[in-house]
Amino acid sequence: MENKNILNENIAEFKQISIEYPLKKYTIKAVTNITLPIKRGKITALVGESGSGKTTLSSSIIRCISEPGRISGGDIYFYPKDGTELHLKDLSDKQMRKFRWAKVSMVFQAAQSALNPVLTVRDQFFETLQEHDSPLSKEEKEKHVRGLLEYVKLDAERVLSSYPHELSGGMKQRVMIAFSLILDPELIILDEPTTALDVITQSYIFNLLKDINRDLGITMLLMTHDISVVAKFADYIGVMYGGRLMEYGDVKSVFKWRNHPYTEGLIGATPSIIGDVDLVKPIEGNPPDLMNLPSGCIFSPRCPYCKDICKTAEPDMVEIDGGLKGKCYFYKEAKNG
Amino acid sequence: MDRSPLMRLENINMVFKKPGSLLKDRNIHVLKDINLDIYEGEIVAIVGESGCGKTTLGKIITGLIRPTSGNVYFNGNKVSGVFSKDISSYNQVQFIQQDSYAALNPVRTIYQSLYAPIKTSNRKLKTKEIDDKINELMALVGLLPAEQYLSKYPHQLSGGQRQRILMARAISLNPRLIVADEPVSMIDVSLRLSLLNLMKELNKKLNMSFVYISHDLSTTRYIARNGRVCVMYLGEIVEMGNIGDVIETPRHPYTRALIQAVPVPDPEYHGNDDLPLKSMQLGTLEDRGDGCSFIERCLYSCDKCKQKIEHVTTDTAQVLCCNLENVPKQSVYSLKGKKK
Ligand SMILES: Nc1ncnc2c1ncn2[C@@H]1O[C@H](COP(=O)(O)OP(=O)(O)OP(=O)(O)O)[C@@H](O)[C@H]1O
Ligand SMILES: Nc1ncnc2c1ncn2[C@@H]1O[C@H](COP(=O)(O)OP(=O)(O)OP(=O)(O)O)[C@@H](O)[C@H]1O
Ligand code: SF4
Ligand code: SF4
Ligand SMILES: [Mg+2]
Ligand SMILES: [Mg+2]
Repeated sequence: MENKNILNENIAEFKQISIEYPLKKYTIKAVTNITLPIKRGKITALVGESGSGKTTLSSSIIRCISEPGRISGGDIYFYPKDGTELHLKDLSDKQMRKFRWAKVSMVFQAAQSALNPVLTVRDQFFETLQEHDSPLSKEEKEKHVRGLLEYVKLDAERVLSSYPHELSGGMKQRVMIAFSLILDPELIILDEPTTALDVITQSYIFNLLKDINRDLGITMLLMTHDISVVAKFADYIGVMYGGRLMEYGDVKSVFKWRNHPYTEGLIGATPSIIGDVDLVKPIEGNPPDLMNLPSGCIFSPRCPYCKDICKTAEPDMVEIDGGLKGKCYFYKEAKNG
Repeated sequence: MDRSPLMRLENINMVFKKPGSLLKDRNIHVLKDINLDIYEGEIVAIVGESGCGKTTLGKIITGLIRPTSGNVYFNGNKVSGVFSKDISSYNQVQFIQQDSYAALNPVRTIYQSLYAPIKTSNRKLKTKEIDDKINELMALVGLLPAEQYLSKYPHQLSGGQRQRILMARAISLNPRLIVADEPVSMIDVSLRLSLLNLMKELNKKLNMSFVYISHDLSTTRYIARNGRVCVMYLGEIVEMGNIGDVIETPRHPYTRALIQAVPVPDPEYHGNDDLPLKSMQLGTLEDRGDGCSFIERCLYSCDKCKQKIEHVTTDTAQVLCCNLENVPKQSVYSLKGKKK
C-alpha cells in the first residue's frame, strides 16, 4: 500500500457537504453545500461569524455533530498516510471509534467542559490510552502523559491529580491540547483552542503547534475568531457565513486582496494593538437568520457593494488567478465596481 | 477624586489546600495581597497569564467564594458573599462566567433561564412584561429573531450564541457592577465590537461599572479606552494604570513581554518574536516567599529582587510591583517589528 509519490495533497476533503439539525417545528440548515480541501501538512483556518457552522462542519469529520444533527448530503474523504482512501460516511460506528483520536483528534470548543468532572486528569488520559489498546507499559504511559502536559507548560504533578474544577479555563484548554496529541494523530481539529489563554501562553502554544505541524507533518484545522492568530499562524483560510463557504485561499492573498466583501468587513472589524481604535467598525446589520435567508446572495442585506443582480440568485463559487475562490458576483472586482 | 469606591478589595488572599504527599497538605496560594478599588461608572480591565487568578478574583468580587483573608466592601459596607445575608448587595453585582457551557442549566430552555431571574427580582411583573423585556434583551445582544433561540436548550446554541445569552441575563437585572470573564472570547470580531459597544453604552448611559477580564489586550484597549487596566502575574497585581499609558509605556517586565506578544491582524507584519523573557517556565504558587514572583523569567533581575518588593508609582501614575532597577523605560513599540 505504501506509495508516498501519489499521496494526495489533501489529507481530507469535504465534497458538497450539507448538515442540518431537524428540530420539532423546523429544520436548521447549519451547513449548506460546502466543498473544502484540507491540505496535508498545512494549517487551515476556518473563520466566520458566530453560528456560521464552523463547529458543525468540522465535527462531522469524526462524527461528533451534536444531537440531532445529521449529514443531509455530500461526502467526506480522508487520505491517511498509508495511501488509502477512506469514505468517512461509510465507516461503522466501531471503525469510527478507532479512527477518532488515533487518526483525527479534536480539541472541542467546549474544552472547558469536555473533561469528565468526576475523573482526575490522570484517569482520563489513562482511560483513553486503555481504550485504544496502547502498547505502552504503565511507566511509559505515565512518562508520555507527563511529557505532553509539560509540553503545554503545565505543572504535570499538580494537574494530573486535579479534577477539572480545580483548573483555570486556560489550564483546561491546555490539558485538552495535550490530550489531542496523546495517540499521535495525523489531523488535529482545534476549535477555538486558545480562547482562554493570555497572549504569551497563546503564542507559545501556537509556536509549539506550528513546530509539531512542521516536524511531524501533522495537519491542523483551526477554528478561531482571532484574525490576528490566523494572520500569524495559518497557511490557508476558509471564510464561512450562514453555513456557506464564502471565500477560500492562501492566507497572504486573502488578507492582501480582501476580495470578498464579507472578508473585507471581517478584517476591518478587528481591533489591533497598533493603529487607531476608531478605524475599526463592525459589519452593519444582523447575522443571517438561517430559517429565513434573504434571496440571492445571503450577504446582500449587509453588503456595501450589493447590486441588483445580487438579489436574484445565489452566486456560484468562482476561482480566480492564484487559486483564490470566492462566492460573489463581483469576486475580484467588487470593490472597484 | 475623593469619591468612595463602589467596591473595595482590601488585602485579599486566597489559598486552596490540596492533599499532598504524606502528612503535609499543599497550599496553593492563588491570590496574594490584592488591593483594588472599583468606582461607580468605571471600566477596570484585568489581564494576565492563564492561571494567574483572574477568575478567582472575579468570583470573590461577585461573592461566589470568600477569600481566605482580607475584606470586601460594597458601597462602604463590609460584605461576605452571596451565601450570606448580604445577598441583596450581590443582586447589584452580576457575573458573566468564563465557561458559558457550565453557566447555563442544561435542562432549561433559554427562555426559562432568562425568565427566572427577572421574575425572582420583581414578583409583581406580569408575564407579558417579562416577555417584552426578554425580547428587548435578545435584540440588544444581536440574537434575532428571538423566538428561534428562546425555545432552544443550551447545547443547541453555538459557543458565541451562548455567551450572548449570558450577557443578556447579566444585564437583565440592571446591576451596578458587572464582572465579565472573557465575555466575547468565542464571538466573531464583528459581533464582538457590537457587544463591546453595548457594554460601553451601558457604562455611559446607566453608569454601570464593569470589570472586564480578558486575555485580549486589543479588545481591552477598545473597551476601556479611558479606563484602568490591572496586569496580574501569579496572583499579584504587578502593574496598574490608565490603559493607554500602560500599553504605550509598560514598565513592569511582565507587562512588556505581554504587550510585545500581542499578534497583529496582518500576515505581512513581522513582529519581534523573541519575547523579552528568560524562560517560559511558570513560577509556582506554593510556599511563596517575599521576593518578586517574576524573578525566574525576568531579564532584568538583580539581588534586590529577592527582597520584598514595594509598590511604586511612576510619573504616569502607574502603580508597579517592581524595583525597576535595570528595566528599560522606552515604549515596547520601538522593539516591535516593522511592516515589511
Ligand atoms: N444541537 C443543535 N441543535 C440545533 N441547532 C444547533 C445545534 N448545534 C448547533 N446548532 C445551530 O447551528 C448553527 C451553527 O452552529 P455552530 O456551532 O456550527 O456555529 P459556529 O460557527 O461554530 O459558531 P461559534 O463561532 O459561535 O462557535 C447555529 O445557528 C446553531 O444555533
Ligand atoms: N477549587 C480550586 N481548588 C484548587 N485550585 C484551584 C481551585 N480553583 C482555582 N484553582 C487554582 O487557582 C489558580 C488560578 O485559577 P483561576 O481560574 O483564577 O485563573 P485565571 O487567571 O482565571 O486563568 P485563565 O485565564 O486560564 O482562566 C489556578 O492555578 C487553579 O488551578
Ligand atoms: S454577490 Fe453581491 S451582495 Fe453578495 S457579496 Fe458579492 S457584491 Fe456583495
Ligand atoms: S522586581 Fe526584579 S525580578 Fe521582579 S520584575 Fe522587577 S526587575 Fe524583574
Ligand atoms: Mg463553534
Ligand atoms: Mg479564568
